[in-house]
Amino acid sequence: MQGRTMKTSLTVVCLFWGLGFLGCGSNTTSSTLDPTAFGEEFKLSSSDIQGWSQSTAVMSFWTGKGTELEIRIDGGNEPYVTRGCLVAMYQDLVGPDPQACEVVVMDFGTEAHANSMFTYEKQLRSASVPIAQYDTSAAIGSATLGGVSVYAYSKALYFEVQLTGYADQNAAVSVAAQFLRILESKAK
Amino acid sequence: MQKQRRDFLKITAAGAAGLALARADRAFAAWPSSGSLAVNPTISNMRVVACVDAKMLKTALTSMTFAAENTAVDSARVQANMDAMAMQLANETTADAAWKAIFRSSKPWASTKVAIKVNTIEPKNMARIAVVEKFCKIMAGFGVPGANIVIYDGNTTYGAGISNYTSYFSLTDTTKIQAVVSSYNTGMGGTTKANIPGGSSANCTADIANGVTDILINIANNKGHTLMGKATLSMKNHFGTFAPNHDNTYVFNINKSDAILGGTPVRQQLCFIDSIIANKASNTGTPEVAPCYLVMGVFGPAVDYLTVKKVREEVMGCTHDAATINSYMTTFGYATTDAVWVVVPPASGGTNADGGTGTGGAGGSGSAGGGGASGSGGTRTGGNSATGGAGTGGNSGPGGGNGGTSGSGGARTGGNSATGGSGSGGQVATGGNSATGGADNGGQIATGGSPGSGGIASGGAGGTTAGASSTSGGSPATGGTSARAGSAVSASGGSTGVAQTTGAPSGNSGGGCDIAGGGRKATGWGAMLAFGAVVAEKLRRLVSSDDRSS
Repeated sequence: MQGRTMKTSLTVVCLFWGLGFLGCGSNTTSSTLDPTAFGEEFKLSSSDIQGWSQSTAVMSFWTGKGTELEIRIDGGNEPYVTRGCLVAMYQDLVGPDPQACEVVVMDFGTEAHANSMFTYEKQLRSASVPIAQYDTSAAIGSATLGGVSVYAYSKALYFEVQLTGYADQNAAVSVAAQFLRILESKAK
Repeated sequence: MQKQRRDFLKITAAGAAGLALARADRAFAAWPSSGSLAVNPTISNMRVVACVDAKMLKTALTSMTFAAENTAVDSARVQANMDAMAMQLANETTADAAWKAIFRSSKPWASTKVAIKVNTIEPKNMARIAVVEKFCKIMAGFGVPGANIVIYDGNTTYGAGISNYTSYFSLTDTTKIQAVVSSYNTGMGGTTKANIPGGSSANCTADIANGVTDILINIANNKGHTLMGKATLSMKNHFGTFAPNHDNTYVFNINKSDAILGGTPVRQQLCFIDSIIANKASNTGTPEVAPCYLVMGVFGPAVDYLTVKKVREEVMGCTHDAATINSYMTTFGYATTDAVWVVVPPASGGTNADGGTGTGGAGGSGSAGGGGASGSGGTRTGGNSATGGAGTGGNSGPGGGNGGTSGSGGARTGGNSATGGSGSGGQVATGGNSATGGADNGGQIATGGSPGSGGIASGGAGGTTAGASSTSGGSPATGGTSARAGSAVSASGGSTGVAQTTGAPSGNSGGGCDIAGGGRKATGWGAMLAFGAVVAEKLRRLVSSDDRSS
């Protein structure tokens, strides 16, 4: 009985924790919409996830306003801009060889906008890979060559975590969940 | 084919005077306001050649860095496939003759300037080094100095990814590819305004706009996009020659411009899609699939249209905005049915055995041929060796899956377009253009292949009767259209079956027809050549009436 209670409690905790990613707030979560400050807020360092650090390749770190996204992703900016992206950060990281990760964090101003972006990507990519401890209405993965791309949102923040270098997709999903948790914790 | 003939007649009828008149009427467009412009006088604008070959990847991709991808790619195989594609595109029997038909210059080769446009916005999916290197080798073979060959992506905002190429190229280190990598447009004369149809202008790579570049090779990748009907291919690759402007009309207009299609001969002489790996949904992000396709033609809109229809939709399962995709063709005055899709088998299907002793491919074991009731094509099964495909046949649509890979008895079952008749599987498409499907029997002979690329003689005959699952292949290799004296005929039966993933509705029993004489000895090459010539001619006639895209 005791075991069952504990199990139930854990389930409830996990559920809340996962759903918490959805959040209840609806306003901008970052302290500022200044791209530089936004980048500093979410930039991952080697101390955030063991074995991972920013890539030394060109364009491995970029921040900009939503209106400047075309610089980074050409015409791919359109879905983000039309859904209200205000500010964005892109960061390329390298992990244990040959693993690599591209992290995208965007502030959409409102939860509704961030949700709209998440839903768009989920449908576009027919994403269906569940991310442990997250509800699929808040985070979902899409299989790619050598890994997984995960899409998620929390309040007004929208996240993409693209992991490659994995022969085992489950391992990639697990690491992606780690990235998401850390990014979430960085939100002020 | 009729369209090709029409093209030829159009061109002939127009003549030099007509062409001059048409050009006088243009508004900064090389592409005429009515009629068409032959990019190459000997190659139809509508002809698009593809090759699918899973062996272009030596290992499964895990790391998606540019370097890792290039390490995984079998360069020799890619480049051999490109030769085979060129021969098919130019209808030449040697790669050298084919490339010389494709690439032309009004200047001596030593002073000819060549520009290669790549797309660097997503480093996880850029033109693979093997492809770029091949074009550099071709030009070097013609006598174009390395300093005159420039690889560029001139977009000043996102072109930084070009730096991924620099370590592979050098003009001084002979172990590297002899060509120049331009940082943005610095190696291309900078940026200047270029006129585009409609009277507007836009920033453009100067050497392209000013006609300094004699030969422009457009190497795009297969990616999705939010615009252009949800695909970005060779036409949109000119964002980076011209400044980006995400308006479909703008994309079409820059592809009609003097900068791109001007010059004598026409500057942009080849559009190539490196679709070894591909992005389904977006132009950025990690590629989702590895279709292992190469596609090329002389006319970008046709290349793009058929890449969408035949690779992105049929193979990758992507969906697009049909109206916009159709406008790739109609904007240039063509019907969507005009485009001609020709699939060549992978190169290196057979080894060059001594004359006359080539062996047929291992027996295909066509299996599981089933009716294409759902309209979906056969699965791309078929193995590496001796396994025929499991494609499903179809009455009229392109049927079944592909068979095994090179040198083995792979067979493409299921009918090819409008063939693959009732109650039976379709055909074999080994070594050659395409075969015609069979009406009451299994597959039949394909046309000949390309010398040195998968065995000259190809086309195992036969297959079995309806729906059979047979382990015996067809007749021995019979020599293809391009068989040459002294070349070996080998592994005919089954160089790689060609992936055809859509089938016809209400299919029939779709016989698992297979091909390739299982281990049989081919006849002596002389006999084969003679027989092949006869067969090939007959088949060419058959095929010529059947090779239009549906």
